[in-house]
Amino acid sequence: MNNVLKNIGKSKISGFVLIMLFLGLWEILSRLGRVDFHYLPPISIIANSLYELIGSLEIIRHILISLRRVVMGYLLGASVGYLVGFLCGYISRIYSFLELTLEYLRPMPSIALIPIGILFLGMGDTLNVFIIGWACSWPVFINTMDGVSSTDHIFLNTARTFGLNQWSIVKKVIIPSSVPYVFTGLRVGLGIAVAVDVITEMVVSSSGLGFFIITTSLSFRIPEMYAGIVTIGLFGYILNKSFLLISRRALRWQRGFLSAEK
Amino acid sequence: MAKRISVSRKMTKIFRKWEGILFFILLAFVLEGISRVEIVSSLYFPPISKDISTFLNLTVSGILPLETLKTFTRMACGYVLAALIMIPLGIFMGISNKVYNVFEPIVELLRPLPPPAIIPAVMLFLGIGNSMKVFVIFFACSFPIILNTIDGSRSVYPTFLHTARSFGLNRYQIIRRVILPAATPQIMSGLRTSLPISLIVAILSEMIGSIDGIGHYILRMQRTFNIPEMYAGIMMLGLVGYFLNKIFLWIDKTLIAWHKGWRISGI
Amino acid sequence: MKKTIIILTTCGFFLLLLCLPMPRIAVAEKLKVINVGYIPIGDCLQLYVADGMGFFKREGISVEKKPMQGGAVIAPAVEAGGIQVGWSNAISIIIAHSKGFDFQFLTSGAISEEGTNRVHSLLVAKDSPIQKISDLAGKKVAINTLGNINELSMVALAYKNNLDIKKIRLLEVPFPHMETALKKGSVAAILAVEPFVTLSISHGTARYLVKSVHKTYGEKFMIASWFAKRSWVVKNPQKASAFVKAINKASDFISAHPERTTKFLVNNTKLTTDLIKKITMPSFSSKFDKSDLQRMIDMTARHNFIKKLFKAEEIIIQHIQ
Repeated sequence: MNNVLKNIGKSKISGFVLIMLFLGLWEILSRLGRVDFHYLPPISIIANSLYELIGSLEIIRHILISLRRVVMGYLLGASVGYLVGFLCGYISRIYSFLELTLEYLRPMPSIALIPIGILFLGMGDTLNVFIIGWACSWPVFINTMDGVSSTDHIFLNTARTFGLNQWSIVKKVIIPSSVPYVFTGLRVGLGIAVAVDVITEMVVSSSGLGFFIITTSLSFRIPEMYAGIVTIGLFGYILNKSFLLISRRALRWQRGFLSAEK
Repeated sequence: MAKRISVSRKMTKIFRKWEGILFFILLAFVLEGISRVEIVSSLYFPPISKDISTFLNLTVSGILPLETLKTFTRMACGYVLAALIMIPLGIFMGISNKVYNVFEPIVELLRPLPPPAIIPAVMLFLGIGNSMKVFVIFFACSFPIILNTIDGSRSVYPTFLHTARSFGLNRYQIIRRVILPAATPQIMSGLRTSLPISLIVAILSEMIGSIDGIGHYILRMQRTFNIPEMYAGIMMLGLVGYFLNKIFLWIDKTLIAWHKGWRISGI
Repeated sequence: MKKTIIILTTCGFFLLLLCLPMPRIAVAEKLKVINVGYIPIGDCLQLYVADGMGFFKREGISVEKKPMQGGAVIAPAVEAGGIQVGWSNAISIIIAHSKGFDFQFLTSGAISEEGTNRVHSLLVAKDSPIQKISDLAGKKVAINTLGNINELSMVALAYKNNLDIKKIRLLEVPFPHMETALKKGSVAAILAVEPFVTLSISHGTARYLVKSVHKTYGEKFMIASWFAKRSWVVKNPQKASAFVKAINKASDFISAHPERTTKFLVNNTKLTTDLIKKITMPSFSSKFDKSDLQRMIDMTARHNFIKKLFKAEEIIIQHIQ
């Protein structure tokens, strides 16, 4: 018996068991009417409505629309963040020039920028993409700048001793050594992109997963609302895992070199 | 010779500082121009000068600072709660595989859920009062903190752990004297990341069912078409974030400066 | 080599995503298209009917319906030009006008009339000790958004009952969350609209404190309607008048055949057929009665929502004055 328990502890099964127990409890309490049926439907009903939503393609449409916005916003934000971060890390003069402005703009929540955005960009996807881009560019910017500016001086000096020109130094020393930082920033940025996408859709859009949750809660389709929340969670999860997969392949050589990247 | 160098270095420093301010002012002028020339409707984008004067008026009259304080209180509660619960939990998860395996699936499952998505559900249980807001802030801040804490706890150099054990330290002492100090930079990094998150989520939660706070203020001004006041509120928000960050960096520097010395890869 | 393949496949994937059906962003000026922002509630019935019955087409225009969260999002969108026509409650437009925005109402909209068409009610928890308005002193009351007709109604109600409005704390809560807020005790009273009034009462959560909140406005008044920027109307007189004609036709249709409107409500608002049978709808008319609006302006000024009184004509387009 002790052995079995030990084995459970060893693998991740114990965590899943805990989750299963919790879900089971939810189902029972909800069905028994201990928790208000209207506001917390049993898991089975939520699962059922999710199934129906997928079948009717209703939610698929919203997923694809949100995905589109997240990807485009993320690409925009990540590229701008990377470029600016690189420049600021490489030439510290530029950063000292921009520092005051950037440090003041950075904590501005994207939601506060929506009314301004509507004025300049209208109400379509462009608004979403730009707001998402704004929000996720910051972690990428900071981490890239950190990564570039903390390139080990030993490496730089060695490269110079070897007579490499500036461009080669950038390509062969700075970029590779900043990769782990950049990837941390990219990863955080992805999470932010998804969150901000949901926020913007809740406030301004007429499509997408954020809009879906709002609309279902407004029309009292509560099981559908929960199904939507679950979908958003899965959505973010899958995106994150795909990102990890891609980054793991790209960083394979890095892992032996530096301490373990998660 | 040495004196001349230090003088020129000082001058460069002063120049750099003023350059930044210059750029900022330049930007302000551009924005002012955009509004006055009506590239966008000046009703929704008033000249910066108007926004600033409104901002100053509201600050002096105490309206803005009062609202900000209310928001800040909520933020602080959620943030501190998250730190108090997640740091110990993270340390335990970092040092014990068993604990890690139990909680990891839950963390991974809940992590991708963006805080706004849970607000409708949380409202069903906690209503729209302060408890809902504090809970959502707590939820949002938990993840960066716990993930960084786990990372930090796990990446303690095994040598240190072995040394500590061979000295006969018990578990509690090991945590306090080896793991905690070693994980501190990562923990601080997590705390630093959650700070803006707590602000954003606080604002967001105030836009739903609140009667005070700076988020609510911005919303109310927008609803009643008091646009300069709305921007004044947004500016206040920016200032708050800016100062919070600066304070945090100061704490970081003074309290754990010793760390950067002997860690190869700093923050 | 492997790296290149991965990079190429990811790029290909993204390109594919970009080719997905683009949201239809009609260039309104080139074709005869109007983007109309609305809230997916029963009050916007004229739009649903005009669209569903083909009235817009018959007038030679094509309407893109854009569902939005509320007036606060619709007004800036109209201002920026992203949508040309929007739905808003009267008070918000009145306040906007006083701040210098040049919005104007195009048609008559949702009308509240004594008798069957009172749609807004003030509810309290079923077992609440609150019996009259003055009991609300020091308590929180939920309204859907600030700065609109509902806030004004609360102010007017408080005034009538000799209660200082500052003693009541108004909270912005979206309609669907009001019932829960009441149940949890987060608020002492809610100013709800259909179908949420009927729903809360039928669930046993709430009871009426004031059945028709808007009585203070008089016998008949305009709750909300379709508006646009004056400059747009001046530049696009045909489109504007086409819109007006179609909406007016819809109003006549609704008045003549109320039973046939159910399907339009079901299609556009996700209200169910049973719910529709129980709720109270506003009335619609193809004739614009200025006094319906003037009364609102007077109230707004009286309770200091705006500084100066003005004539209703300033926010009604020429066509229908």
